[in-house]
Amino acid sequence: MSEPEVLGLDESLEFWDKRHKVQDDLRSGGDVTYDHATNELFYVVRLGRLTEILGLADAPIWQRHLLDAGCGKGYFARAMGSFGHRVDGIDGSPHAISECQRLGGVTESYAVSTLAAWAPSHQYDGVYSVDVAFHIMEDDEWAASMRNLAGLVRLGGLLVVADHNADQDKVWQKYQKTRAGRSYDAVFGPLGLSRRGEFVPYGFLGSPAGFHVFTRDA
Amino acid sequence: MCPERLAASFLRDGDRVVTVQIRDDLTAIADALDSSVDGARVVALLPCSGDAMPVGRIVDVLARHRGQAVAVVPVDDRTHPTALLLERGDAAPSTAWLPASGLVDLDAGRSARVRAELVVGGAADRGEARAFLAEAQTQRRRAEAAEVRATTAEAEVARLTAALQALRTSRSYEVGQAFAQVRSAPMSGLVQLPGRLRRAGKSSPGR
Repeated sequence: MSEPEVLGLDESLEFWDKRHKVQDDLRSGGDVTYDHATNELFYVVRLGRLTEILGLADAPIWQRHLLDAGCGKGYFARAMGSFGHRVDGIDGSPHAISECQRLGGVTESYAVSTLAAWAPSHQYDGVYSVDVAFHIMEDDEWAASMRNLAGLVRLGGLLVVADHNADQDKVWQKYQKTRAGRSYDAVFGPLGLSRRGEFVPYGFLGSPAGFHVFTRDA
Repeated sequence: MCPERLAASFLRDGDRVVTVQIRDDLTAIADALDSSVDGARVVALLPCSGDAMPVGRIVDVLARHRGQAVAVVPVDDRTHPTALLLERGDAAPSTAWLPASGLVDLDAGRSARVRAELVVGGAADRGEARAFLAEAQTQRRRAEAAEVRATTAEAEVARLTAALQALRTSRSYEVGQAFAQVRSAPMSGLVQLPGRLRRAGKSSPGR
């Protein structure tokens, strides 16, 4: 069976900007097959898993600095800000970022950028990306994005990327391509990142997605 | 410091100066490190200020191309205002405190990364802090100037109000008012004139 036609980078950016404009706050970055209430639960469950992985804010005088890579309308970034972290949120959708800037708190900062292009003047204690990597359809762009995120993690910091944990890469539809777990190992390993524990599944309504968790240790 | 003087003080024969053209494209640094021998020094001139350095990319390039960060120095150059001083080679193993794992022994690679994060990230942080403080100072000065302006205006209004009040309670003002009343309404003004002049005689002398 042939693979379905997929979106290029520009088409993908346009697709997501439009989706953020027309879909409500949760469905735009959640699962369009869920109703609003189910998406509420979906967000809460993912936030819980992510919080378990990232841990608590250490101290008010030394906030942990996080990057939400592909923050959409900022649900997770605002939550992390409210938990006492400093958060930068980036997304390729200008509409989503304007919403983030409208709703965001004082410890959050937002910018329009792709994952591959973000080059801030600091590194992060933690970088996370929730349900974004499998929407990057082009393999070169995906690899460049992952390499860039890896470079933004401080020594000792965490890199958390959501995807499936299958043995093979797979195109599901024109805007969704999951990568095998070993594809992440192949990119992150040579960059000094190693897995911290097992894959963390969302465990929500049979979703095969979850978090790959890496630590920067070299 | 001008770039030439910096290069003269840091570089030795066979060392290199590279100019990075685009802030995020650091291939010039990678190429310079790859083509240098261990112990050689490289000065990379960056097209951005210290607080705008792409720290993650710089640290990543240094880690992958065996570059050790020595220092970040501002230079007098309009298009390339920051110099990154590097040395090619492995760092000595050391021990460091990492936020996630506490006190740890570091091999050469991790030692170099810690150093790069401290040198490059620290310079960027200090640059950001300086920019933040400068902005805070500017805002404080603006607020102080606005306060001085407001205080001066308030004092002027108070002075004029007092002067007007003094005028209104003065004898000459009362007398003038009485005669003005006669001019504008002769009948009632003439009737009221003696009384008003008596009252004016009891008011303050004015100036």
